[in-house]
Amino acid sequence: MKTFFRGIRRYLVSAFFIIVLILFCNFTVLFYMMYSTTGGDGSSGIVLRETLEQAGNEITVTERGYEMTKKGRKALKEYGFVWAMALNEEGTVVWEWRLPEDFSRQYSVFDVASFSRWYLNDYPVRVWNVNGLLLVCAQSPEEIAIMNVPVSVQQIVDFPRYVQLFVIVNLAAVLLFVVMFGWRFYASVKPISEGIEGLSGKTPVHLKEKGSVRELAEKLNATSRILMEQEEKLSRRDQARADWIAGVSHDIRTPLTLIVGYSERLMDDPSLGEKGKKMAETIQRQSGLIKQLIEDLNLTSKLSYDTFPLHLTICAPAQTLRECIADIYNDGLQPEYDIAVTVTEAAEKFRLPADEPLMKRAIHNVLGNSIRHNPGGCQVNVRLSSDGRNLHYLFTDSGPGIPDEIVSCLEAEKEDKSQMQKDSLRRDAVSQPHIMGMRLTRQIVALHGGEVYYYKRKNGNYDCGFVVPGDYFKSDKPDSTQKNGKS
Amino acid sequence: MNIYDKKILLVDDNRELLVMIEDTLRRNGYIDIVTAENVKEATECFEKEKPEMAILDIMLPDGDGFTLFRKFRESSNLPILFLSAKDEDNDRLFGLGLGADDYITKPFLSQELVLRVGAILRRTYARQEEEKKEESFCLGSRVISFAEGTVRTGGQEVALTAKELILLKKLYENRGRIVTFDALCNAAWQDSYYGYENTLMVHIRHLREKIEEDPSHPQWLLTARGLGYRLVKGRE
Repeated sequence: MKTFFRGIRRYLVSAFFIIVLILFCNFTVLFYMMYSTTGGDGSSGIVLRETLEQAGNEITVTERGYEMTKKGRKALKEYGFVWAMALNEEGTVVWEWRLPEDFSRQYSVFDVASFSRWYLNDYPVRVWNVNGLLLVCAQSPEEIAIMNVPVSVQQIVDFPRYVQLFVIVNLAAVLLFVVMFGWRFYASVKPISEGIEGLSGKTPVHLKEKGSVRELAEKLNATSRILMEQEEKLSRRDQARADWIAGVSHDIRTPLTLIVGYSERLMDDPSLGEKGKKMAETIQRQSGLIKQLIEDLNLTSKLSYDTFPLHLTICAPAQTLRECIADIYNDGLQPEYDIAVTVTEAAEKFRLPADEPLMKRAIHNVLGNSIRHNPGGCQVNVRLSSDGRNLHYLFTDSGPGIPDEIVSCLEAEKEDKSQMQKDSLRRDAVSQPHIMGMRLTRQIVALHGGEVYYYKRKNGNYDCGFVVPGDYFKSDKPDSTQKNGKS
Repeated sequence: MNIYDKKILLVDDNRELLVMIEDTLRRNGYIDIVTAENVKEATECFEKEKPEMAILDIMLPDGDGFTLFRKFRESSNLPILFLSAKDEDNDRLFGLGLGADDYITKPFLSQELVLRVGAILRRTYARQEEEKKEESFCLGSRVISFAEGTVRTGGQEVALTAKELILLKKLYENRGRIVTFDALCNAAWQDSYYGYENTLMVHIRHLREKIEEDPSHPQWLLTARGLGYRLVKGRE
């Protein structure tokens, strides 16, 4: 309905402008016509009066009787009169100019009364009283027609009201038609618009194929069918891929358990030499990496194909971060590593609708990279801050940082719009666990409406951080110092 | 009651894995272990051997671990741990939702499995004894009694406040591990860390005064900068 009223409003506005434009054009044309006709055809009262006045004044009494000067005759000629005559008070023609021979030279009062505003022998005539003479001038019947329309005074008085009524009735008619046609247009277009909306929302569309938009409806239905088929194919393909990855990861897990279990046993075996123990340690460490890789691969495939349901809860990101880092320490972080965490007060108050285990995974991946790629140990700094609207995570370490080529690869992947290139990159990147970990982080952050950023260091490598939107928590708790006595 | 005497039924379709887990458990003191490779064998074994705990794989050649779980629970309340290569949240939630005592995803560290089995058996069969045992513990020359809420050293006895006791208990339960500020605040005040920073710090300082020789240089209750606190393990 909103769309309809918007459409009608547009119609009304455009109709109003059209009416104004038409009125303007009409008046312009009318004035132009009036102006352009004043000179030639004699329809202008003022010029006619002036011509007759001038011609009448040019009639003078001479010895040969009444005569008109050349100037007078010229004026008559220029105005378009074809003949002229002057009558005295008795109705006798005392002067004539090109008066046809068969015309009477004597006219009674009745004759004069009948032609004075009308025709004389089919000639439209104009009459003017000047210097005691009645000047009668005729125009060509082929060029001029005389209409004698009597108008009552009341009609003239009411004329402005008629004009108003005329405009109002016109406007009302236009509005009526606009609303009517608007409604009809809306009714016919509505299913089409709903269909397009449905298509954009990946909803199947089945429009009735009738009426003026039948062809459009047919095409939309066909497009919907094609899109749904493609969607189903894509979904089947994605599901197959996700299932395949899940299956492979499942099948790898059991043999990996055996590798991890026996390498653990070998590490504890006192009969094994130092070298053997080192080998067992390596097997176990690498098995841990494979385990991580499988988990990342499985999760990233689920996230890529939208087969992972998010379990959002309102969580305290500062708490999640501390728990994540404490878990890393508790899982046996070597003493060569130190993770320093700074949480600003604003970030402490921040609340985030998030899938907490997933967010921990994202943080863990970044911290895990710092640890894995600095085997000699390093200092990792994590800073959590907030600008009131967003939460900012910043991860830096004393190691060399994230190499440029890794960041370029991740950025290219992000910007890439082509599915084929994306697939190819995906294939390339899968072979590198650290890329996959970072991609997973990016996917998780993106799922929470955030974005991962890379900050260039002086050495050309990068640090990483992410920004996630959330809600700033207005605490109504009393100041912490007041609670010191609470126990 | 000795948890190591309990009969454990181990079900997995991978014979090599069965051998490895059985061996691991035996090495860690468990002496009564029976194994099965499918649902049929497991059912027979369950009826014949009357195990006191079961470790079940989910995907089995002639059925699944969930069905087996239901069958076992019809006649017994034995603790059950699922051991599976399925890491889907849904599977894990389903397994735990059925009433399983734990769920471990493969691959896992043998030691983790041993610890979890021990925890389940203790929880089920030896909880009271363990609780009694855990009512007091030593930190160097000091003996902390949770039952009495006191710290004894030499002939002296200092009382712990209710909050100090809660905090110490939480740290003791996670001994050797970092307990975050948030977990401590949640245990003591059922609230988030924000707003309790100073309060927590004050309580920890008081606690140190009671359990440490030199509270300014703590040996037992250590600070994990920016994260939380850790009660040192294994030096009592």
